[in-house]
Amino acid sequence: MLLYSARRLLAGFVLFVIVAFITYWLLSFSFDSVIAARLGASATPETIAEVRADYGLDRPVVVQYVDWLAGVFQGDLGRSFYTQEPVIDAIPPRLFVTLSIVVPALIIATIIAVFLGTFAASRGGGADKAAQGVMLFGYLVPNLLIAILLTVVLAINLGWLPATGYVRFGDDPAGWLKSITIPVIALFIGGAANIANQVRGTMIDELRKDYVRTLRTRGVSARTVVYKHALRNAAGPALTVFGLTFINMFGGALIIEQVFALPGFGTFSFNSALQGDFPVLMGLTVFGVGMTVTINLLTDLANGWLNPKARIYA
Amino acid sequence: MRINSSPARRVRAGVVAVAAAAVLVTSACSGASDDAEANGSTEPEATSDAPTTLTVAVSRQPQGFDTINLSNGTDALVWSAIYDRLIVPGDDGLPVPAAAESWEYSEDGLVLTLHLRDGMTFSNGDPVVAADYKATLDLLISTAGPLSGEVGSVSSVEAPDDSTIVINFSQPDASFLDSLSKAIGAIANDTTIANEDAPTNPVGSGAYTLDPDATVAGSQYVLNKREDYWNADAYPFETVTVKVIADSTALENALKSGEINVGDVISGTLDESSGITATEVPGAGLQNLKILDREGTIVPALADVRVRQAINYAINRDAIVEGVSQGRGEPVAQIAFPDTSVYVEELNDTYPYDLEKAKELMAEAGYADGFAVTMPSIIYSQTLDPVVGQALADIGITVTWDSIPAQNTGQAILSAQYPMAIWPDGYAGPARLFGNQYTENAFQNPFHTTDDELTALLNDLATTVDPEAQIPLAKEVNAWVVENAWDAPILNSSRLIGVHEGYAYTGTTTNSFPSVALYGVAE
Repeated sequence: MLLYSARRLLAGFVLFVIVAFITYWLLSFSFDSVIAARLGASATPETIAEVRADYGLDRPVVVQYVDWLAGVFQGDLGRSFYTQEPVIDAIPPRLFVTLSIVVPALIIATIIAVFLGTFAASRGGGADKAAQGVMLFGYLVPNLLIAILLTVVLAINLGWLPATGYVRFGDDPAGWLKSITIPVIALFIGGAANIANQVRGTMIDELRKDYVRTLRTRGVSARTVVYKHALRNAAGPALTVFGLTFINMFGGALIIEQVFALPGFGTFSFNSALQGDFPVLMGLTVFGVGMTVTINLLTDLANGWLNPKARIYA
Repeated sequence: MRINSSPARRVRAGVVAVAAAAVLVTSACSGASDDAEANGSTEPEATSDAPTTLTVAVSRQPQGFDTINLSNGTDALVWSAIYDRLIVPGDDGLPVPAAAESWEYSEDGLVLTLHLRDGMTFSNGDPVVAADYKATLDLLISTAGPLSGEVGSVSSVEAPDDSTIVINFSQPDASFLDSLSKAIGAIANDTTIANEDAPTNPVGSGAYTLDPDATVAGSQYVLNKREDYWNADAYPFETVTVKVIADSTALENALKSGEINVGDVISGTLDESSGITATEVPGAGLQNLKILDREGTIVPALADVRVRQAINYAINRDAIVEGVSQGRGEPVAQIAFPDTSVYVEELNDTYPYDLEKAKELMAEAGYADGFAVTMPSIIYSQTLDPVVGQALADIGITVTWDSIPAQNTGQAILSAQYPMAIWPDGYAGPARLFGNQYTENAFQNPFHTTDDELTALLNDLATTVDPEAQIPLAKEVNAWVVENAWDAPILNSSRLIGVHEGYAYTGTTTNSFPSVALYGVAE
């Protein structure tokens, strides 16, 4: 498993080097535009050239990239072109904000999805149809709509929860919980529907298999058959969807962050992309690729742990 | 400033108000009479139950707080509380004393001498002396950055004693006093100006200090009042929190739920029982159809004044204000801002909506069948693009829109690729307002078009350092530009500001430079 993990991490590193270079190369086409936008009315060919030189952007792109990559290994991702914050300091707090809503949303979504999917698959009939209706609702209702509705009711009308803003956990744990409650609710519903549907489908397949019939004929209780045996075997495909849902939620968090004015990874990425803040965009690439590689690796490892037949490592 | 009598006034979405907010964010925008910052003036005395904290919002994360990276957009709400400026704009936009008690120009306008007030200190305890501002200005001059253009005319700066600053110019600069009342007038501490953490941990001599523990970059900036500030009585709030809320719906939700005390209302409604008063401030931002290619380099037709005038006649400004900005704004045919001394109401009658007249002018110019242009569709113009495109189509001008990514917005003008562009602008003093648009090398004159008569008028304006003397000269420029249709201004939008009970917002068109001084307690 260690060798497999090392191989996957190495492949991830190669992927990162390639993706980062392509990103840098693509960004290099807009350096002058970004500098002009930053300089505003002070932008002249001379001042643009001066700023280009200040940032070392007048050198060949490959040289700039290698220089940047060397900085990455020393923990230096440069400074934001706009806010002058060190990028290495700017990203982690924003990442934590997004994880603060995505991780609880994913956990809640998974718990609900497992029970809902299993319930639907094992009961069948009207219960299954009702559960499918709930899943369909979760799919179809945009999380933005839910967010707005909850804000109007819980924040503006009742005043129970804040309508906007983020409170750091270290500053006020209760305030933190309040600040993430509506965003988490808005985010988990779609994810729960997604995972539940997958759990339902794979559970139906599992429950039709011979080993389930054998277990039942031996008098093993229905609960044990469903939750101890079938669910474990059905977990593989669901886990894959779980990983994808995590990535999707991460992307979907952008809208939620905007609606609730949360200073998260999505908002930061969006604003940086609008401004063409290239040091930040490169830093985001580092974190983004790193996170994707890690999530995929963890999903594969968990899959193998749950189902020895699915182990693709020695 | 107009105050709506009913606090429950229903307010509607104003797309142009979005653009107005954008103007505040993106441009060197406003002149303000930060009376609270000015010598001798004070806010109303706070009563015992008057609020002592203020929470407001800006739509964009402030940039670096080191003096070479300061922005004159909404970021100024934070940094202008941290730094003293040498002067500040008065109610009428004219400069009044702040950190500098007085100033005088030499007769030839090439030397400006400022006298600092006594007793000012930085938040680290250092006294404020002339050498601090010399170091600040020297750094601005030697570093290419967003403020470079504003110090381009400065040849040197001297600090002959602790309270005297002497600025020498290579040529008279009529915009300089206006600039001094904004970002380049901020005084940094000579001993900390070069610190690596200067962008995030600023040391200023202003009324507030940035609380690094309570501040969350990109989310909220917390300012604590300095009781030892020289004009502390003018600031009623002990703590000011500036939140970053980019989404207009989120901003309104924050206002309605009381999470912010004062904020722009861009869409939606204010509840009758909310206790929020809506205040409308005109002159929030110009939307201008800029005719950039006035010499016909790309589109020869635009060199003909009749074609440019036809474009002006083809725009139904009243309908656009009503239809696109829900009545929030003034239809204008001039770039001067309503409620300012340079604004001439009658100039708006120069080009009433008259399609027949427009078509006649096109025919006279030999373009009865029209012509084609390519225009940039920028993030701030997208709501106006369809109506402007239709207006131009009505007189035979076919527009092809190029979609411009947000980060390339400035380049869309600078590149001289486009003969026309819809462009937003914020308020500026007369010399800067017209200088930025029509001088040969102005940012907004990418084809470097000149006209002898206009150049003479602009030169007179640019070299007149007395702000009051600039007004009649600017009016002449204004009239010339309208008559010769160098642009086709469309409207100047207004801001609708929601104010919670107990608070007051005192901004006006000429007094809207983002500053804590614009917020007070209700009398």
